[in-house]
Amino acid sequence: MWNITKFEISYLLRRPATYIYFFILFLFAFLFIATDIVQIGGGIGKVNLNSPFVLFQASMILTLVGTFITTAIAGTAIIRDFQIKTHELFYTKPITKAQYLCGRFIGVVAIMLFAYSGILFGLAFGELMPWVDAEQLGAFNFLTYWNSFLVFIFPNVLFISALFFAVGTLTRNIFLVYVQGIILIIAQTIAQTLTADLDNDRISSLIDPFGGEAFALVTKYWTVVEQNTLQLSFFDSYIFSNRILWIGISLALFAITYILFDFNVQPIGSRKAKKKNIQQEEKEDALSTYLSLPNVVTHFDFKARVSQYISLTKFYLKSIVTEIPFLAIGAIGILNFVMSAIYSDSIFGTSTWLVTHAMIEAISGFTLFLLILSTVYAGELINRERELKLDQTFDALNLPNSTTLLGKFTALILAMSFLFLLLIPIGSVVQIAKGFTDIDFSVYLGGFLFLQLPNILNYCMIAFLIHTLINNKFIGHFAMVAFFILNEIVLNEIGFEHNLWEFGSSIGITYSDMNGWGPFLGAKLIWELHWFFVGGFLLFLSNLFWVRGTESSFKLRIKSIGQRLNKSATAIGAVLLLASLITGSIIYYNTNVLNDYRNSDDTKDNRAQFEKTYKSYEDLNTPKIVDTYVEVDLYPSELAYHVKGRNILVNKTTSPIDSVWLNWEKDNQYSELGFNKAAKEVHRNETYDFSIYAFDKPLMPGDSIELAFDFDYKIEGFSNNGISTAIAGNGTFLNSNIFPSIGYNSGIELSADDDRKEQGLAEKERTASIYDTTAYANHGLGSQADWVNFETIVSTEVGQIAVAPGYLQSERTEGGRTYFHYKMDAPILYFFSFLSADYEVIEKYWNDVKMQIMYHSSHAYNTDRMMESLENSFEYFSEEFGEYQFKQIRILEFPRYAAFAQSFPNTVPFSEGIGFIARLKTNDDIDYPYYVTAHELAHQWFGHQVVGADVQGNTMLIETFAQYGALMVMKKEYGEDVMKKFLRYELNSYLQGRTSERKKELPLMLVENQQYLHYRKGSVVMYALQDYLGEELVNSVIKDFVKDNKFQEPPYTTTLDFVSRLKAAVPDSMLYLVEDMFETITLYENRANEATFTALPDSTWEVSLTINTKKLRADSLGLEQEIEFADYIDIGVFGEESETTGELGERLYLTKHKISGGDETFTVIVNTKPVRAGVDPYNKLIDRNPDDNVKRVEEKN
Amino acid sequence: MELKITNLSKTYSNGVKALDNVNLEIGTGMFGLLGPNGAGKSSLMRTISTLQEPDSGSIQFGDIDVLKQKDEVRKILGYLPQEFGLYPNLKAELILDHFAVLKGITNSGERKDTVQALLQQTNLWDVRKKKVGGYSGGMKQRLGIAIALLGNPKLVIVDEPTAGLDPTERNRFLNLLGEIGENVVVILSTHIVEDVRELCRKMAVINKGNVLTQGSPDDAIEELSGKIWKRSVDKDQLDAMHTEFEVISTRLVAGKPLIHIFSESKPDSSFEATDADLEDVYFLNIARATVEA
Repeated sequence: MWNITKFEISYLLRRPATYIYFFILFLFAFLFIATDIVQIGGGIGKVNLNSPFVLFQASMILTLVGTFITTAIAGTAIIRDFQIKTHELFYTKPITKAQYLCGRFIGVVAIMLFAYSGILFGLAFGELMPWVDAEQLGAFNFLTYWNSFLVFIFPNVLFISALFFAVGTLTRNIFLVYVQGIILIIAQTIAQTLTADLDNDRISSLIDPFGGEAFALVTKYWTVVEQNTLQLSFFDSYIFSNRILWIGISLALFAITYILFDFNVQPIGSRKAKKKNIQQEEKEDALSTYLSLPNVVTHFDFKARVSQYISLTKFYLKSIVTEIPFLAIGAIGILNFVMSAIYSDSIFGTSTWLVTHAMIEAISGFTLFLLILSTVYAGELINRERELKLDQTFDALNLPNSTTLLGKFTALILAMSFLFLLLIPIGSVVQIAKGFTDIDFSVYLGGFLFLQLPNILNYCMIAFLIHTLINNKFIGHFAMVAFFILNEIVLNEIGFEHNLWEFGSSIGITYSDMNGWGPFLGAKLIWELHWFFVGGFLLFLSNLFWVRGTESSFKLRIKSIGQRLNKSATAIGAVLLLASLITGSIIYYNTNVLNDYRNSDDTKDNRAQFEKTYKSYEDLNTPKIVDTYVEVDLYPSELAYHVKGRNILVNKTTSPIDSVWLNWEKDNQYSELGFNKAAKEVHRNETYDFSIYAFDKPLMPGDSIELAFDFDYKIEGFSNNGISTAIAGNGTFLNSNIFPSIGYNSGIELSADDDRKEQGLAEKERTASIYDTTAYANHGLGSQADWVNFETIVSTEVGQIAVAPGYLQSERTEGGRTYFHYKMDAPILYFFSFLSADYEVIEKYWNDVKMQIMYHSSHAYNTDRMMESLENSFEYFSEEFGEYQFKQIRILEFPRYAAFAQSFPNTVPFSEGIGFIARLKTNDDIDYPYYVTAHELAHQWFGHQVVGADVQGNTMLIETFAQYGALMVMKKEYGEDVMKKFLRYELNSYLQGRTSERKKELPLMLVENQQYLHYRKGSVVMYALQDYLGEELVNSVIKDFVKDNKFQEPPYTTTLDFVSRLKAAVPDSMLYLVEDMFETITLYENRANEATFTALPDSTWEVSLTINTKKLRADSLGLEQEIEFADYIDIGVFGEESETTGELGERLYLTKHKISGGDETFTVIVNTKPVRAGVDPYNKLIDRNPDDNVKRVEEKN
Repeated sequence: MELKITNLSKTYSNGVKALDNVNLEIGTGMFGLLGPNGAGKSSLMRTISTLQEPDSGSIQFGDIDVLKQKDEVRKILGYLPQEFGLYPNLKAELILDHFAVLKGITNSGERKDTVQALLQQTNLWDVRKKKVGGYSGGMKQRLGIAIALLGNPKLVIVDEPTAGLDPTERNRFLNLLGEIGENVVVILSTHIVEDVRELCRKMAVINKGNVLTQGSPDDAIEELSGKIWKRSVDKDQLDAMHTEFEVISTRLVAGKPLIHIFSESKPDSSFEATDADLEDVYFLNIARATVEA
């Protein structure tokens, strides 16, 4: 046996492929650590480049990558004997089956381990490179590598080897061997999708053969410090069970191979086939006559070529679509599509209506399969005759290479298109099955023509060229992968970012129910024509290099190019080249002449330069806007608008202002821009579009000036990133950023630490310190103004309604345009929106407040829910937080180019992508149209009445409070039990958000615009706060806070004020809550260890619950320390689940107990049979592991 | 029509000299190209079939310059390679029809007739609806020649078609070849002397890229008439025989070596005269070539 092993090893060691695999994996790993060319997960922010977490993750992912490329080693171990026909020798030698198979298998595993060790060497070597930033490196730790090997490399290699060995040995089908790696990855992806639901953790961690899910689960909430320090052990719960399971499965696979393998000459299943060999009863031949064949005319004219082309196309098409691997990969792709179609676009676990554009997006997941199929089948088709040894027969035909090539190419395109077109009826069936019947086939068709067909063509064209040039199927597949890495990752990384560099790339296009395909199709068409011609030229090159005859060396092929380049071929090549140059120039004209293009390095340089040059202007005193009057004329069908208006600015400072910085926009055509006060332009910057004006006489404190502006804007062509959708045919959404603004724009400064370091800039704080009182002069929603008077006339094309903040004064139609005059009766923030679309409108009154929802005609699904939310929210907010400042509220749908809702004064633009097409089925679903509406309405108080100073914590005053308002309205509507589901999402998002913190986590009251804090943690904290202190108390503190701070002029308030009010209001025994929730980062680790019950004689039940609790404080990097505590925590007992209860079941007992950590046991008597019991069962507290708080109650024996 | 090969040479990149200044004139009818494995037969066949380029020399077929006007050659060429496969999952009829289209028989009526006639005359009619993956070697060769004969070729090249066939199949195949019309140039390469003896009126012997002899088999045999002698020897005498006489072949008869030698006159009494046959021609040429080299 060892001889066989030795033979196998030495054979594989002599093959260059073995080293190529090693080297590829080495290279991937090396580049990942030492450069940013390869991006596979990896550390962000303060996570070290070589932190154990990062290295584990990289090892895991790279074993997956390896799967693609190493199938040949294990798969061919046995087939090889058949291919080179040595099997008869082996099988007749005096060796046993066990020796033969085990020997081979051990050899294979050894070599696979060698190849995969490339990962570890690559990572280690990368770590040691001198140019790697030492600050981003931790100490070299051998243990990490050992654990990577033990946990990922060894078990994964064993599994891959066993599986491939089994497939290769049992089927002896070389094609299957080559594609099985791909099939495995696909199967694994699908399994992951299927188990992606939150509750399936245990199962999904088990079924991932590579241990990725288990790894993700174990490390899910690892903070930065933990990612940098913690090791992964083979014996960690999830890891251990997963690894043992898959090692077992690997051995079982080998056992099965052993049992099924027949130490004989035929593969399984073929013995029967052999018997079917045609036994012809031979007739006596009639001798001595000449063959009499009918006379035929052979045609070689163009018409004949066409019919040969059609015949070849049909021939290969039929052969592709009947092949098992094609059908198998296609079927898996379709399955994957159906899965993603079914689960597409779910938000908070709630599904949406399956509108057709959602299906288009689900179809885009099919691109991976397209890539695989085009690579595999381009290789198959090009090499088909050669593999069948039919090439000499074929090549001696009078058949031009181009006819063969085009026939094969067309067949492949048709086969792919066939798969995609198949997705249309399948997708429609899914839509109908999910209750959506308004299917728009023109969207399917547009998706096919503009998104999928170009992809099919591009992939196949490049695949044909590469496979022709390489002329070896397997290396060809490699080259394709290498090409895609180069094309889609490397080029971009090294600064070739323009889409023209990346073969096949173009602008993204989005379909919106409101705006259809919008402005995209024309630009997309030019891009796709361009790649079509480039690809056509690639096909032309394939034709030149096409292998014909028995000599295929590259040198000889180059020699024969001269012969092949006859007049017509040269003409065709020239036309293709010219056409790609022309289309390329049109694109370049659009992206770089009509529009601005700069690659990211240049942009970074410029931004750094801007900061270095102008930073000193930041502290310059600026006048603030107090009054805005503007006329906005929208021309949706021309993608243009005209703006004419003026802002009145006042010097609110105590010193004279002698100059002012004015930002403009080079895409605007200004016919007027200036002040009504003598001033000279003393500086002008054409890169960042601003001028500095010096007043002849300074603007004295309290004095005002007027800034008048009049400009036209029109979308010109398309840029490299696409086309702006702010002004749209139907669904325009502009905001106050279109107006000229005043002052240094710190938003241009680089913000990421590593970018700044590269540019020699010091790290930048995200937000001014909460103790920096000079920053109290501006609020967090902009430094242009405090509160302004606002009046506007918005005009649009007839048929659309144009909306801006304010009350409608008048509406008139004139010359095919409708003019809407809006005016505010009280000052508002300098924060306006201008929308225009063809709207349906519903309206209703709450007291004397007019509520309107303006929406796209086919999106009426949830407008009633939204209206109800408005009503209930008005009821609650005005009672609990103070009166509403306006007499109207409007919700306005806008196209799904962005997926958010945003609150402007009495106006809420709300994307069609969230909420409008939500589909609420059960009471358990989180009603997010209702929730988002309530949240946005709450901003009319938190944001538009109270706004905090532009310092740490300001987003807590806006977003956390809006979340709180929405939570309270939801709680009232749905009850506490449904809230648990929502809060679990929020808690999860918070815990995951903190693992990817780039700089530092802060206590909530110091939040620096971190979404996972002000939304996610905010929700959890505020909900717990009202649970512990009572809704009434919390609301009264908020109400007073609003009352005392609303519409305030500078200095603005901060969270310091709110927290001190809160402290004053809560009883001393609860002060720790304020500290835990707002002032520090505090987490619990609560766990129910055991729960039993005893039935008592008086038909009550005694429940005994043993719990373990811990309380931790984290510093800004996530370093956690256990602290002592004696806190009140819920102990709950629950009964059977029913439709009226949440997922916990009927609440039998829920009381806060004083708990001081460690193991504790509670005994509770309940009147109904208990089913579950636990500590903090509703996850009100921030718990690092929220899943283990509740246990099923077992009967005590 | 005549195929004229002039000064054709080819050396492969690994240094093997496959063709060494080959000159041949081949008229219509069956021409046998006889030579051992590796003699350069296939290289020559592939070069004529436009599948590879020589280093120097020229090939002329009628008015066609074979090396330059490849497409013209291909129009009238029928080529059966030495080792070839077929689409294993397809039926013979379909394959033949497919190749008929590719050979330019685009008229579907004509194509149908041709395919039918070829299937019948190659005796594959009954199995035309069977997948060719299950065909025996002989059936595959016959289908191969059917493909080669599609479109009335004027130049038919058949490379080692009988290798690996059992005697029945070989006979059947040779009969089939014999039926190809008289006014077509047919080149049959083989290492089996009988193939040539049974079918060809003209032949050439080729070894190591050199044409050793060419002409009609009968003339070649006639030339040796009375110059071939045979005797049985003991195994330990063999070496001595080789030094003493021009031994052209040794074969075992009942376990004892029987040698043929070439000699203008009877060497001694232990030899007896034997009728020269084509095999003697072949072996003599090969043997002489080996001695010279």
